Amino acid sequence: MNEANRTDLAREWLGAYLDGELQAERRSWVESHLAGCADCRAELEQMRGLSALLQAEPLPVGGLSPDAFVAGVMEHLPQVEEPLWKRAFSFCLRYAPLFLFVAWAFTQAIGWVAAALVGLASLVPGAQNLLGAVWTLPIGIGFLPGWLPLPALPKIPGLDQVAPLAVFQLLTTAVVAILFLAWLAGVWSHRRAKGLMTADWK
Amino acid sequence: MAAYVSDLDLIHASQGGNQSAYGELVYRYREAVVAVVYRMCGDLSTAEEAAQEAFLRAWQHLGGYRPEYPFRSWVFRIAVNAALDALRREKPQADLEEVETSLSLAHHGGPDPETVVVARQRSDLIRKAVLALPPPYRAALVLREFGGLSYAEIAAALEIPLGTVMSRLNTARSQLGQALAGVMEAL
Repeated sequence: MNEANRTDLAREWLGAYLDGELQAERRSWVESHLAGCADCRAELEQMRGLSALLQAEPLPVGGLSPDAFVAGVMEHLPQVEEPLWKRAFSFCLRYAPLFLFVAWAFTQAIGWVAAALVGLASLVPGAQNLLGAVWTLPIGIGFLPGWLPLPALPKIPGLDQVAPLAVFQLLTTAVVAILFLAWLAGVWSHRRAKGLMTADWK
Repeated sequence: MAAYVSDLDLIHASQGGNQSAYGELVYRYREAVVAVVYRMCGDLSTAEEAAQEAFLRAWQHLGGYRPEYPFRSWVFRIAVNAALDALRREKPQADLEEVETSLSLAHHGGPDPETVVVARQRSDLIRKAVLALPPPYRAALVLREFGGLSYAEIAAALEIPLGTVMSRLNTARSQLGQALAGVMEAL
């Protein structure tokens, strides 16, 4: 191979040499050629300068912020249809506080209405038998005194019948409060788990 | 503080339909993809639109991604194609936004106007010289110089043999060297 051919071959490999893409044997060959060829050295320097010029060229300022760019992509992603059970669960989870409030308000209302009826029945002779069935049967609290350790009550007309109602109201309030706290804990842990994945880009 | 999640874990989660995980991937690769697409098409807003389009396409084809190849070269391939599609759709137009930005810099205590104008002219020359390259050569050059991909990654991204990568890069550099000889001498 004469010198002109060697120079042509070296020029073919100069770019790959500059990019560090030549295997050891070929790299050695190019290096030995460069040592004796001023033209190839000049061409290599020109390529190096060109590469530096291109890479130093900044992107124009302006454009979308990172968050806006990501949001633009995310809003065009196709929405995945969730299965019915999952949507129903999400619905219940979202409106759980409302359901709990309604349940609590319902039991409280029943308790207060029943207590008022009991009070009235104790004041009107003969009405107790009539009204007793009204409040004990629907809310099913007639059995409470049998298994709950209730304190001794003062002898006030109607109080022995109202006390189970108060216990019932306290119990339902406690159950609702516990369920609400469980809901809060569930929502908090769900958001925390989700945050692990999204906090970096939000 | 949020725990760091690797790219591979994010890709697996995204392949399972987790859009939050994909959002994090988009965030991580956004800058590199916009840079590559901008060099391909020469206009920032077009580049951002094409880059967003590339990420949407990547999401649709994420099931076909094989983790043994770098995610970067895979998404760059999609980005280069999105850039070429954008170039086919868009007509070349004056980049008023960039001109306004340069003027704004000059009027608000930035570099002096002469420096801004010279830098602006040089950027224009470089941008036009890159855009003057035929798309296959430009794609190889952009992926190498601005995307930082290896020859093997470029070959995988453009689906061409390794030897073709080398010859396209040589041709692109030779043409650019001639076009930008004046700029390089002035530096």
